[in-house]
Amino acid sequence: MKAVFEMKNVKKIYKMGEVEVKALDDVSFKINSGEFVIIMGPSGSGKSTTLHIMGCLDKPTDGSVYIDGVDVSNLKDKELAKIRGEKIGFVFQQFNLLPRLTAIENVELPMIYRGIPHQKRKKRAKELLELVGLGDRINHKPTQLSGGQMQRVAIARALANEPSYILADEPTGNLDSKSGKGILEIFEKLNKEGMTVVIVTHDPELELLGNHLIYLRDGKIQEERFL
Amino acid sequence: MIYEMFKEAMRSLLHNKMRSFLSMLGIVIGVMAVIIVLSLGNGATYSVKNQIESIGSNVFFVMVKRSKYGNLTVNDLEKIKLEANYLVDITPSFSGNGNFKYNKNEISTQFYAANPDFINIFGLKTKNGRLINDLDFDGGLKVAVIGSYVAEQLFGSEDPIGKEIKLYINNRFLPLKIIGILEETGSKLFLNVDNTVFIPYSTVEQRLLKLDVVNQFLAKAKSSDEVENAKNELEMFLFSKLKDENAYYILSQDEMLDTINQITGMLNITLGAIAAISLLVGGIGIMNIMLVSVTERTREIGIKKAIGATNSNIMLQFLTESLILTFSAGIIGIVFGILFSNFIGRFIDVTPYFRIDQVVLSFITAGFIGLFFGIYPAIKASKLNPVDALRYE
Repeated sequence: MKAVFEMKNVKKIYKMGEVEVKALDDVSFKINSGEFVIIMGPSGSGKSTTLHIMGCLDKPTDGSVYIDGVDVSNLKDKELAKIRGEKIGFVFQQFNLLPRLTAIENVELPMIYRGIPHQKRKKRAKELLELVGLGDRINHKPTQLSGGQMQRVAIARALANEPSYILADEPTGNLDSKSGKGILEIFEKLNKEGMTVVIVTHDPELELLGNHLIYLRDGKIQEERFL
Repeated sequence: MIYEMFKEAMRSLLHNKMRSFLSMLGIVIGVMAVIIVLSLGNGATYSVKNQIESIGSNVFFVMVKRSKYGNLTVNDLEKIKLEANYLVDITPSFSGNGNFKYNKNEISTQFYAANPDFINIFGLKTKNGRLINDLDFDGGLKVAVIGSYVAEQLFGSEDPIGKEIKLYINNRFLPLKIIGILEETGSKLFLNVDNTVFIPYSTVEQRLLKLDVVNQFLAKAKSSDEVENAKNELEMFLFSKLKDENAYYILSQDEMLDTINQITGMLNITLGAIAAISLLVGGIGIMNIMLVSVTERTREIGIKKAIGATNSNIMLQFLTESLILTFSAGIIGIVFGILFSNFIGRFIDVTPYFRIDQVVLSFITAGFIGLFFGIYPAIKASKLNPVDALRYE
C-alpha cells in the first residue's frame, strides 16, 4: 500500500507571549491510499494543528511531514501552495465558498490556479457538480443554495484537481442531520471509488464510518485503530 | 489566468460600486486637472507664440525713454534706416484708442500710427484699395487703412473706399479718408489687426497728438541670420544718441518667446504641482480602500490559499483591482478633462490643445499610482498566514 501522508515525530509549539504551548508532541502516523481516516479528539487535543499540518497550511516546529513520499516540512510558501492546490482537497465546516462566484466558478477556482485551460476546466467542474448531485444548480450563487448543497459544492471543489486525499474539517458540523448524512454518503461513495478521505472531528458518531481511527489527546496520539 | 483575474477584480469592484467610484474620484479629479491645465496652457502658449511668430522671426521691439542727453525723434529713425547695414524696416510705433464715426455708426477701437515700413514688418495685405505709402507719410495726409472688423462695423455692406470717417480723441477730431481695407488677419504681436485703424505716424503727429518724441519703435533685421548684428547695430545707434544704457530696451522676438516660455513653464510647473498633489491624495485614497478591502476579504484570502493560490496569485489579484481602479479613473479623468477644457476654453477664449504625449503620460501616471499605492495592500494580502486568515470572522 502506498502512503499518501506520513507524519514522523512531529512537534508543534506555539509561543503565546512568554508561555510555550505544545500543540503536538511527537506525533507519528501514516495514511495509506484508499483509507477512510477519522481523526478524533476533544478541543485542545491538537486536532486543528494536525489538520493544518496535513493541509500544508502550517509547518511543524520539529519532525517531518511527507505527502506522496515528498518531504514538505521545509518547503517554501510557493511550493506549499502548489501542494495544497494539487494534492489536498479541503472541505471546511463553514463550507468556505467564495460568495461572489457561482457554484461552477467555485469548483473551477483550484483549476484556475493550477493553470488548466478554460474548456477542460468547465467540463470537469460540471461533471464534478453532477457527481455530487448538483448538476441543475451549477450557476447558482452560494446564497441561493442550502447548507447541504453548499457543502456538496465544496466537495466538488475539493475533488477538482484529483487530490491525493480529501481533508475534511467537521464537514457536518454546520448541517442538520439529514443534510449531514447526505454529505457523509458522498464521502463513503468517493472512498469506495478509491479516494482517500480524512475527516477531522470531535463527533463520535462519525467514527463508525472510518477504517482507520486516530484519537488525539493533549497533543499526543492516545489510540490508533484499524478496522 | 489573466482574464480570470481581470474578471474577478471587476466583479469585486462592481460589487462595491459606490466605494469603487468614490475611491476613483481622487484620481479622476487629479487627471482631469492635469489635462485641463496642460491643454489650456498649451493653447494659450501656442496662440501667443503664433502672434509673435506671425510677423517673421527677425523683428525688434524697442522701448525708448528720454535721457539726460536727448531723445529719439522720427528723424533719428530715418537716419538709422539710411545708415544701417543690417536693418531694413524701421517704424515709430504708437497705438491709442479713439472713437471712430461714420454717419451714425460709431465704434471705439484701437488706432495704430506708423510709417509705411510697418506693412512689411507685419506682412499686411489689403482686400480692397491700397496701403499707406511714402507719399501719405511724407505729406501727413489724412488717410487711413482699416481692419476688416472695423470696416464691417462702420460701413456694413457699403464700400468704405474713398469715404471719410472721423476720429475723436478727447475734444479734438480728425477726418480720415479710407484708402484701403485689410484682409482678415487676426492678431499679430500686440495688434489685433482686424480691429485696428492704421494712420500715418506723421498725420497723427502733426494734426492730433504731440508725437515728436518716439517712445516705441519696431525694426526688422535683414534676415534671420543677421539678427545678432542688427541688434548690435541698433544698440550702437541708440547709445550714441542717448548715451545711457538704461534709456532703451531692445526686445527681440526670440527674447519675447523665451519670456513667454518662461512664464508658461512656471505656470505649468505650479499648476502641475497642484494637480500632482491631488493625484497623490487620490493615490492615498486608493491605498486606504485597498487596505480595507484586504481586511474585509481576509477569509477569502485564506480560502484561496487553502485551495492552491500562491502568494503571487493573491498579490496580483489585489494589484489588478487597484490598477483597474486607477486606469479607469485615468480614462474618465481624460474624457472629462477634454470636455471641461473645451468648456472652460470657450469662456476664457483659449482653444485647448491636447498633446498626445501629455494625455498618454497622464494615463500612465494614473496607472503608476495604482501600482505604487496598490502594491503595499497587495503584498499585505499575499503575506497573510492561511491558518489565521481562515479563522478570521
